[in-house]
Amino acid sequence: MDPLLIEKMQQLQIKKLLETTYREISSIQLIVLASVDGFNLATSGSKAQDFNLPEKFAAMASSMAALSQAAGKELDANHQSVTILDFKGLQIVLRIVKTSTNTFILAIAESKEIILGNLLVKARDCAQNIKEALQ
Amino acid sequence: MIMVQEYKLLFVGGMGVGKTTAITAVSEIPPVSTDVANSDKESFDKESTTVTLDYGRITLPSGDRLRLYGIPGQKRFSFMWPMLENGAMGIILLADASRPDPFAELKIFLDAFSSILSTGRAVMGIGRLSDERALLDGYNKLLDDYQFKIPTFSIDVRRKKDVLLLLDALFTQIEVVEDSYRDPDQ
Ligand SMILES: Nc1nc2c(ncn2[C@@H]2O[C@H](COP(=O)(O)OP(=O)(O)OP(=O)(O)O)[C@@H](O)[C@H]2O)c(=O)[nH]1
Ligand SMILES: [Mg+2]
Repeated sequence: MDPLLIEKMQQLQIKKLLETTYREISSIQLIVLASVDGFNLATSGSKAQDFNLPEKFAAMASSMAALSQAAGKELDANHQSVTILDFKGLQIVLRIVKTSTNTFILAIAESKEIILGNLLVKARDCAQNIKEALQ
Repeated sequence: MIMVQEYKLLFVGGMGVGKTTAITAVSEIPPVSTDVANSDKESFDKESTTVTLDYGRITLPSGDRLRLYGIPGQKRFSFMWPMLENGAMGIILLADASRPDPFAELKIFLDAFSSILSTGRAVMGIGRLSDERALLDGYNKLLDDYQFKIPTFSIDVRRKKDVLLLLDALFTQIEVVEDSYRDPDQ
């Protein structure tokens, strides 16, 4: 069962924000806001309706973000903000979203129809909007 | 030249059985932790939960090294389980006897890790066992049903010597299994 991390109203609001980003970048396969421990809180994207995929992606995003954080820590780097994964025909950006009370992960998988820099800017803006909605 | 061996051992069990606690108790290096804030206090009321893996290390007097890995216990991270099981030479299966339905929870791991558990290269540590003989018998019966020949111990994962006892027992267990391969009549 999913914990009630954010209120229903906020959840709808965040889903709208994710949908806005998806409208701006139609090559987004999945855009998910996950709790730091891998619960799927809101989803959009062309694969948002695929059975179980958003849930799985949210859990994996939390694992990958934690692993990159652990790697950074071994090398004395702190305050991780972004993890980037690069594939043929797919890029994944994981962005930490910190509010005063909680930490979330914004995870975006996109078919590489836009350049990484643009995707990073969109991810940053979307994260900022989410943060404001949750304050 | 002396050959130093490395052994990969895996701590397995559900949320809150104490995989992270056990590895932290015995590791000679600060363990690699991927614990984050736990937002599902209903499933288990504790501050943090593992989302990728635990990693710790012990060097034996012989110079051999134990690499200790722990799984994330929550089911949604089960995609990590086969990756972590890969190459493991033995399993430390942990259980929490105070859970509402301890056997059902354990079955998930008996099924998921059956390929190693069925070889007998494993030990089981049961925590929070408040001298209830019946419960220990229940665990042994469950292992029998699966035809897993795994010794069980009542332990407290927070105590270093208990975790070391489990590791010791695991090595004995692995030796027994290897001897029986060498001498199939046994
Ligand atoms: N009171 C009490 N607490 C215990 C006992 N055994 C373990 N604990 C506590 O139970 C908790 C176990 O938590 P973790 O080590 O994070 O458990 P885990 O198996 O790594 O869980 P996940 O990573 O979420 O799968 C710790 O807070 C321990 O201190 C016990 O016998 N008595
Ligand atoms: Mg853990």
